[in-house]
Amino acid sequence: MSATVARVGDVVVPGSLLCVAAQTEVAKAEAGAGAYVDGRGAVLASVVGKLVVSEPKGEPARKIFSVQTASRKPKVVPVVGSTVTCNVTKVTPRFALLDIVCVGVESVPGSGFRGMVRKENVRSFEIDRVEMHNSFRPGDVVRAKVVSLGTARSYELSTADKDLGVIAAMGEANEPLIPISFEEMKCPVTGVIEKRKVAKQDSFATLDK
Amino acid sequence: MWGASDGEGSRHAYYRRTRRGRVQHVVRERYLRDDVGFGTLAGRGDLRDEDALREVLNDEHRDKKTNMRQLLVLDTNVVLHQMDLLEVEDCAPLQNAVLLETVLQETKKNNLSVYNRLALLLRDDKRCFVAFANEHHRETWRDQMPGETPNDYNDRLIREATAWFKQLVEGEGIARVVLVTNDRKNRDLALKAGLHAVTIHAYVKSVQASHPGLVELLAGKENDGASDAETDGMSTVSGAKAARFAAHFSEPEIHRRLKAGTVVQGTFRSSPYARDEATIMAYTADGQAQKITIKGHAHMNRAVEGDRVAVVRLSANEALESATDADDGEQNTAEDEGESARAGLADEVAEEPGEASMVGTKLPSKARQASSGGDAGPAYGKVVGIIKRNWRQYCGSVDERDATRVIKGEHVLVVPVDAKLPKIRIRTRQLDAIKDKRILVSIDSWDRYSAFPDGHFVKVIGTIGDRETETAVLLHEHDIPTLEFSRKVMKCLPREGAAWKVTPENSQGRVDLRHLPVCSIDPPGCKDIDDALHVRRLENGNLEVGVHIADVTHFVRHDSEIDKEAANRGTSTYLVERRLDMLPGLLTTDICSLRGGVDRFAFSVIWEFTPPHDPADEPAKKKRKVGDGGDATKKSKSKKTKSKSGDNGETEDMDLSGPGEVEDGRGLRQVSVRFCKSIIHSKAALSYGEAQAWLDDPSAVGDLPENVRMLNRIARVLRQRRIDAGALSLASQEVRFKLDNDSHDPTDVEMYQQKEANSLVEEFMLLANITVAKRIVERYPRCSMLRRHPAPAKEMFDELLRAAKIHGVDLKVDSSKNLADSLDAAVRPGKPFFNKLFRILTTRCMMQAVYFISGDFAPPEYRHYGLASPIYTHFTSPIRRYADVVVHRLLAAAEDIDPLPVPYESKDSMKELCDNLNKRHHNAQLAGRASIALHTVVFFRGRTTTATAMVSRVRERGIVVVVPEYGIEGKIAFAKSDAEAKQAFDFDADQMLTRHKATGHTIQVFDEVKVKLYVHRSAAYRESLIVTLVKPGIPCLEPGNNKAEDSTA
Amino acid sequence: MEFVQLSGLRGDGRRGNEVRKLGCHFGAVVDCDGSAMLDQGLTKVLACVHGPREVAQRSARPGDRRSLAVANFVQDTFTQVIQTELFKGSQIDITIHILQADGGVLAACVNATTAALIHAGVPMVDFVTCCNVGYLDHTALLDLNHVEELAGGPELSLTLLPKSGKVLTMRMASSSVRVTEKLLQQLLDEAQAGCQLIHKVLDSKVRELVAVAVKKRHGADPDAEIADAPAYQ
Repeated sequence: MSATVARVGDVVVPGSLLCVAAQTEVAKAEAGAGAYVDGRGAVLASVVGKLVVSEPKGEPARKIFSVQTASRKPKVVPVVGSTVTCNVTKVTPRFALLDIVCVGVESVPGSGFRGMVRKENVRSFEIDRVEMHNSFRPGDVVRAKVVSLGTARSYELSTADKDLGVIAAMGEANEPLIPISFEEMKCPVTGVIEKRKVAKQDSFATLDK
Repeated sequence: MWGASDGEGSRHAYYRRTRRGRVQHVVRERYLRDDVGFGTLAGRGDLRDEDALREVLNDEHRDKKTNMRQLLVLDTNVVLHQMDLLEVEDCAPLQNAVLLETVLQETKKNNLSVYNRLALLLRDDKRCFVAFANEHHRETWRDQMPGETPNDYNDRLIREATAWFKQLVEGEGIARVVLVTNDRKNRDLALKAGLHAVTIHAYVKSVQASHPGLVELLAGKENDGASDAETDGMSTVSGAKAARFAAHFSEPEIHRRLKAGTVVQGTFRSSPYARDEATIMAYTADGQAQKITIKGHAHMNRAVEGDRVAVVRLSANEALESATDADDGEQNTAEDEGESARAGLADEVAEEPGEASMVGTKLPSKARQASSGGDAGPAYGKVVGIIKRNWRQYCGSVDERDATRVIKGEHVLVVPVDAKLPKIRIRTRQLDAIKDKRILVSIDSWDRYSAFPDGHFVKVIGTIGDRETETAVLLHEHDIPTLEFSRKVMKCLPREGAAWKVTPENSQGRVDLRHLPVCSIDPPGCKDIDDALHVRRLENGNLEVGVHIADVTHFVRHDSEIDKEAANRGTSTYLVERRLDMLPGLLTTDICSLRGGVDRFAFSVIWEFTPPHDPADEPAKKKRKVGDGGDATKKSKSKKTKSKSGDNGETEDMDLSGPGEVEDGRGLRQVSVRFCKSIIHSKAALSYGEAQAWLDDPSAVGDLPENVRMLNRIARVLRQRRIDAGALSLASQEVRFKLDNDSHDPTDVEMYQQKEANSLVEEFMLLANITVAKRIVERYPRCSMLRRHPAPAKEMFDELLRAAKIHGVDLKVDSSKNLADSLDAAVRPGKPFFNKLFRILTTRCMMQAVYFISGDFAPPEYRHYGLASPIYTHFTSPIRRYADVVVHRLLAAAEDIDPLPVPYESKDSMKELCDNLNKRHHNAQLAGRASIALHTVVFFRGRTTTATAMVSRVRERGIVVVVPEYGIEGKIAFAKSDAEAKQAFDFDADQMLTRHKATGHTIQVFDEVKVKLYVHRSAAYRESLIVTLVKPGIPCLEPGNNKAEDSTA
Repeated sequence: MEFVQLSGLRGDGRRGNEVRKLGCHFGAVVDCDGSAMLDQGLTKVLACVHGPREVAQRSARPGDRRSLAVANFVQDTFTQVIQTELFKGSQIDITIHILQADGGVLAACVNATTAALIHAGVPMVDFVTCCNVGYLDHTALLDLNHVEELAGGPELSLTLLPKSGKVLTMRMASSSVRVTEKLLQQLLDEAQAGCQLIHKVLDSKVRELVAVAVKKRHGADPDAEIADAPAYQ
C-alpha cells in the first residue's frame, strides 16, 4: 500500500518500508534490530519506533537500517551459536541442567530458558573420561554456547571450548572459588581444590606462574 | 468513508422487558452524522445540500399566501391513518414530504403493511418523498429526558427536526415547511415553538379549491389522536350515546388471558349462511382444534372477516340469549333479511366445496376429526378483543336506499360485494357521482357506539353492472395483481424484443432437436403454447416420445425482477374474456411460446418405449393379462433403478412406481428417459379440431397425421393404465361463452366438449409431470416442489352416499379405483345428466390439490388421489404457472445443467413460495369461476329462460338445483325460517324428500324439475341470477315478493 | 427486520461501508510485556502479551468451542506475522479477554492482539488488521454489530496485511444464504477495504504510542538521544 520510504527519525510501524533494495545507492542495505529484509530485498520495520541508519566503521558501502524502540528491553532469546551465561541447577552422571540468564550481554526475558550440557559436550578431548561431578556443581555460573535448539524443554548447550565453562563458583565452604587451571578451582579460605571445567581466564597465567 | 475517529458515537441505552418477563438493559450505539444533508430519495441518492433539495422539489403547488412551495413533515398518526390519501397519484399538494426516521420507525412498529405501502411511496420517483434520518443527524437528535414518555419524546424529535428544516429550508426560501399532525398536543407545542403546524384535515381543506376530491379520502375526524385507545365506558361521549358493544381488552390484557387460558385466539370467519354468525378455529393447549361459533352481533363485537380475535367461551344459553337481542340496533329491514338469506344460500352453493376443502387441507387429520366429530355439541363464544385487524380495501356500492335519503349529514352506508362483511359507513359529498358506481373503500375504525365501522372512500371503480367494472371488482376481491408490468420487469426481457432469434451463441449447451417432427396441439387461437410433442420410431423398433416444454427459465433468471414479479403473481388468471398473464406478453405469446415454424428453446423430456401391443384394436376396457416373456427381466431392471432411493426400498418401490411402469401386457414399457435443454422447431401448431380431424380420418396421410395417430395410440394405453390404477374422471360444470366480438358480452353458452385430441395431450403432460416429479425427488428429496391431492375424508361423502342409496346407486368411496368404477356404473337410461350430476357432486367432496415441499410429507403422502399417481408435480406450463418454473429449475439442477438457486435449498423459503403459489392458484380459480358467474348473469340479463334442472340437495327451507345446460347451480328457497318451513312442508331428511302440504307436490333429491332463470338486482346493487321453480308448481321466495312484503310492513 | 433503512443508513446510523468507532489504549495491564484495550463500537477486548519467554507447560486454552475457534484463528493469523524465526524455542503467550461483545468479536480480538504485540515490541513483518463484513438487505455491510450478526446472513471475517495487501486468514459463516462466487468476491473486496479503514485508525494510535513513550523516556528532546544511539548489531 504505502510505498513511501521512511526517513531517518520517522516513526515507523511494523511493515513500514525503510529502504527499497533497488533504489538505494548503497551497495548493501542491511536490516538491524527491529527490521528485516523481505523476499525482494527491501528493508522493512518489524517493530514500532524510530528509524536509525548506521554505517559500520570503515565500511561506507554498508548501511544498517534499524528501528530504535522507544520502549523496553530488546527481545533476545538464545539462538544457535549464541554465547549464553547460565546457572547450573542440577548435575547428573550424564548431563547437567542449567538456567540461561543472559544471551551475550542482554539478560533474557522471562524467568529463564532451560539448557542442558550433555557429558559429551563438556569438553572436546577425552570425552569418554569426563565425569559430570568433576565438571559442574549446582550453583556454578557457566558460560556456554548454544549448539542446537534441542527439545521443547531445553536448549542443547556446549562448553567444549577453552573459553567456555565455569566462570564463577562457590566452594564447599561457601566462599567464591578462584580458578587455577582448566580443571581446578581453589578455595581461597580453606585452600581446598575443587574440580571444574573452567573457562579460560586471564588470571590463569599469573596463577600458573 | 467513516474514519472511526471523526464520527461522533453515542450510547443509547434503554430497558426492555424480555418475553419471559425479565427486565433487560439494552445498550446500542448511535452514530450522529453531519453528512445526512436533507435526507435521501430512495433509489435516487442523497440530497447533499440546499441546491439538491431545490432541484427535486415539485413545483406544481404553491402556498397561496406566501407563494412558496410546501414541504410537508408528516407525523406518525397521519401516515398510519391517511395512507389512501397519501397514495393519490399526481396530486400536487401531496408531492413534497419529509418522512422522518422517527416516523418511519413508529409506523413500522405499529403497522407493517402501512409501512410497506409507505416504502413504495418513498421509492416512487414521481414523488419527492424524502427519508430523513433525524435520529442520526447531529443537529436533530435529542436525548430522551427523564420522565418523558416515548410518545412525547417522539413528538419532540419530530418537532426538532421540523424546526431544523424550517430554519434551513424556509430560511433559504426553498419551501415552506409544514408539520402535518393530527395530534393536538403535538400541534399546540409546535405552534408554540413557532412552526407551521396543521391537521391533515385543515391542510386538505386549504387546497380544496384546486383538489376537491381529496376530502373524500380523509379517514377519521379531526383531532382524533386519542381515538385509538379503547376507553372503558368512562369517556364523556357515553353519556349521550349508549355503547352498542362491549369494550375490547387491551393488548397486554389479551396476552395475559391467553397465557392463563381463559381466552382463545383464532381467525374470525363470518358464516356465509348468516350475517350474524361466525366461527373461529381455536387450538387448545393440548393442540386440539375446536370450532367455536359466535352468534349475534353483540358477541361478534366488531370483528370483521379475517381478523385475528380473542374469544372467550360461553355456555349455549348465554350464547343464544344475546343472539336474540343483539339485532335491535341493526338496520336490518325485512328485505335485508331476505336478501341475506338468499345470498347465504347462493354462497353456500358457490363457496362450500372450495371452503370445505381449504379447511380440510389446513388442518391435521386429528383436528378434522375433532371438529367434525362434534359429539360434545357446538361450542360457543364471544369476541373480547382483536389481536390483529385484517382490514384491506373493499369493493362495494352505496346502499340504494341511502342514495335517496342521506343519513346524518354526509354519511352513507356502503355495502361490500363480499357478503361476509358488514356495511361500512363513509362520508361523502359526491353521493350523486358515486351512487351507481362500484367504489373502493377502506375501514378506518369501529368504535363501540356505532353499529357500522367507519371508513372512507378510496376510489371509483366504475359503473355498477358494467362488465368491465364487475371484472375489476372480482379481480380486486380475489387479490389478483392487475398492474401492468413495471419498467424494471420489462428491462429483463431480451433486448432484441420480438426479433429475438436462436443463435449459436445463445444456445450453447443445448441439444439440437430441430430435425424431429415436433408439433403442438392446443385449443384454437391459443397463443401461449407451453408444450409440444414428437414421436418417432427408433432403429431398434422402439418408440421415442418427446415432450418439449417452453424453456421459460432461460428468459426468467432466478431472482431477477421479472422472476420476482412472476413468483408473486404465481399464475396466469383466465377469465372468460381475458387473461391476466404471469409473464409479459412478449414471452408469453412470442419468445417462449412454441409456435409452429420457428426455432424455440425447450426443456425436453424424451422417453424410449417399447411399442404398444396392437393398440389400435385393443378394446378400451381390457383386463390385465399375463405379461409376455420379456417381463421378468424388465421388472427386475425397473426395480433396480428405483431401489436407489432409500432403505425402505420395498414400500418406496411400491409407491413410486407410476402408471408408466406397470406391466400389463399392453407393451409400451419405458426403456429409458432423459432430460435436456434443447432447440426445437415445431412443424405445426395444431388446434384440437385439426388434430381430431386426423384422428378421425385414417385417410389423412403424411408424417404429421401419422405421428399424431401414433401419439394417440400411446396415449390410449397410458390412459387405460391410469384408469386401471383408479384415476378419477370427474366433471365440472364448465361452460363456454360465445362472446360478442366487439363488446365481449356473452351471446351464447355451450358446454365444454372434451375431444380425444385434448386428452391425448393431457396424457403426455401427466406422464411428463410424473416423470419429472420422480427425477427431482430422487435428487432433492427434501426440497422438491410437488403437488399432492389428499384422499377425501369419508365424512365428506355422507350426504352424497345417502342420496345415492335412495336412488339405488351403490357408491364406493374406499379407494379411488372403486369410486371411479362405481361412478361409471351410476347411469340411468333416459336421464343423460344423471351420471354427470354424480360426477359433479363427487367433485365437490374432493379436497383441493396443493403444492407442497417434499420434505414436509412422508413419501406415501405424496399421492395424487384424483390422478391415482403416487407422485405428481407441475412441469408442463411454465408460461402460465410459476410452480412449473420452479420445477424447471429443480430439474435443470438435478440434471446438472444449471446450479440450483440458493433459496431453493432451504425448506423454509420453498415453503413460503409454496404457500403463495397455493393461495394465488386458489384465488385464480375462484376468480375464474366468479368471472363465469358474472358472465352468466350478463347473459341472462333481460332473458328470462326456463330450463331443465336436477335437484342436488333438499333442505328444510329449500332445495338446490343444478342446471347442466348452463352450468348453473341455484338455490330455491321456500321459506324464510324453519318455523315457516315446518308449517308448509313435510320434510323427510332420510329420504331427502320434501312435500308441499298445500299442493301435495313432492321433491326428492335427483329429481328433474323445470326452473325459470332471470336476473334480479337487489337494493345493494348486487345482481344475481334467480332460480325459481316452474314445475312442480311450489311457490318459492323471490326477491320481488319480498319487496312487496317490505312495503306493506 | 430491516438492516438498511429507507434513509440508507444502518440501524446505528452508519452506512454500509463504514466501520465502527475504534479506540485503543496501550499498557492497561502492567504485569505483562505488552497489552492493549481495544474498543470497536461497544465490543471491548483486552489483549495481553507475555514473551517471548521460555517454553512453559502448555498454556491454558479456552474450554468452550466458540472461544477456542477465536483462539485458533488468532493463533493461525499471528504465527504467520510474528518473526518467529527470531524466537525459536521460546513461546509468546497471548491472552485475550472479551469484556463486551457487540458483534465483530473475532475482528476485535485480532486487532487488539496486533496492538498488544506492537506494544510488547514483538517484531512482526506487518500490521495485521481484521474486519468482518456481512450481506443483508442486498447490501454489503462492514463491521457488523450484534444485531446484524444475529440475522444469520453471510459473514466473512478476514485478516489482511494492509501494507502488502496480502490476505492471511479468513473465516466465513452463513446460516441462511448460500454464498455465490460473485458475492464472495464482493465480500472479499469489502472486507479488505474495511481492514484498510481499521488500519488507518490503528496506525495512528500506534504512532501516538511512540510519541508518548519517547517523550516519557527521553524528556524534552528525544531526537537528540536517538541520533546518538549506537547502531544495533
